Amino acid sequence: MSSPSTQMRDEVVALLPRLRRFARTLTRDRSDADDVVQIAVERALVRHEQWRPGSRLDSWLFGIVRNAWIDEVRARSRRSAVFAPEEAGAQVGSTATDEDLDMRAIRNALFELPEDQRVVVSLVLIEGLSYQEAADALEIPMGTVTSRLARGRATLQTQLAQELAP
Amino acid sequence: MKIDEEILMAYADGELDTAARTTVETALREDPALAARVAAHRTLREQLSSAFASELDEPVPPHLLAAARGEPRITVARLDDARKRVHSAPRTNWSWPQWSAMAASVVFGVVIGQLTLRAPADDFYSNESGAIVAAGQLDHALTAALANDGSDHVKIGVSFRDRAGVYCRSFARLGEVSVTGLACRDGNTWRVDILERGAMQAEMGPGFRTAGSMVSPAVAAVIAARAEGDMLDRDAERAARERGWQ
Repeated sequence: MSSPSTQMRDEVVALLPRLRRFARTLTRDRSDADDVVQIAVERALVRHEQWRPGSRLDSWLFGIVRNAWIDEVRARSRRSAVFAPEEAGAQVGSTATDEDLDMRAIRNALFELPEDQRVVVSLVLIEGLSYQEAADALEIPMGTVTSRLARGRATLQTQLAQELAP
Repeated sequence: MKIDEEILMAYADGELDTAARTTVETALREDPALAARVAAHRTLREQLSSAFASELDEPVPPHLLAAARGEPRITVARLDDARKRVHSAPRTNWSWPQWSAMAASVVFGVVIGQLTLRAPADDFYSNESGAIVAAGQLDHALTAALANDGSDHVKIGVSFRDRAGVYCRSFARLGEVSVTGLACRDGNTWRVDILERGAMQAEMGPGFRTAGSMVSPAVAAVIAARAEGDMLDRDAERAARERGWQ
């Protein structure tokens, strides 16, 4: 088996901030998010021949991160491990003391979405993937992407209309 | 004209082709309420982006950079983690299944090549019907030394009992090409289960003092997976040594 090219490794390094940002929409726990990214990156390098050079490396990696998180959730429920409870999650994920209340409301609203909708909203609206790129990353039909996106956005807009300052 | 919400959303996201875009734009000009909904979609995108913008600016932790570069990581801290966590399942950041497969294919291949090319009188190992057994200085260090002690040539890292109650010890052999490994008690001998070449860089400097702990994440993962209970402290090691590691 050949090793991943230097160019591919450089591109993976360059994508790390976005992979971490995406992982932080899957879990509020920062070390869990970094663990998931690490597993995903290691898997990606082992499976590097599955990526077609010229196709979107970020989409491919986002899909691996998403699957690594699904695997982690399953593994934990088998070990009956305890997740950081959602209330504690608000403190675990909190950033600098001058964090805008609006930002907190937006993040909380996102985390209240069901995970399937949250993943699509995160990939399209935060990571900037197109509908087709998100569909490819998640290996789901584009129609599923658009319907989850529409429902997620509708919920977010309703919630934030109530909570955010005009 | 009635425009489906998903079409409006796709328009706001720049997903429509020219023909569809033109249709929507005509409708927008005629209906301010539609234009407001498009604006709301765009605002939500901006709000989400700015709520997560700070994540992007954070410096990437070194262990992730190393993982992305496919570098082997050399940290004493990994085995200290093993000391604390051995009662619970191993942390997933060792990617145990991936490392075990790679370790099995890479490490043993190196060892076998090394031993067959060497002159038989090696002071560290002997090859006994296919198994690698500690000899000479290595056997002496495994039998007599406590963790972090050893001679200038061999240092012992951690000691533990595996799930069958067998004592195992990690070690590092210092020299031009460093070798680290794991040996387990087998009767009156130490069977060498893992040997890794070049897990440590020559430039480690002061790190040589605790060289015995400096195994790669692959070996750290093996230790975490095999160990039953905590790593032995010095008293436990002394007691085990008294009993000949039986």
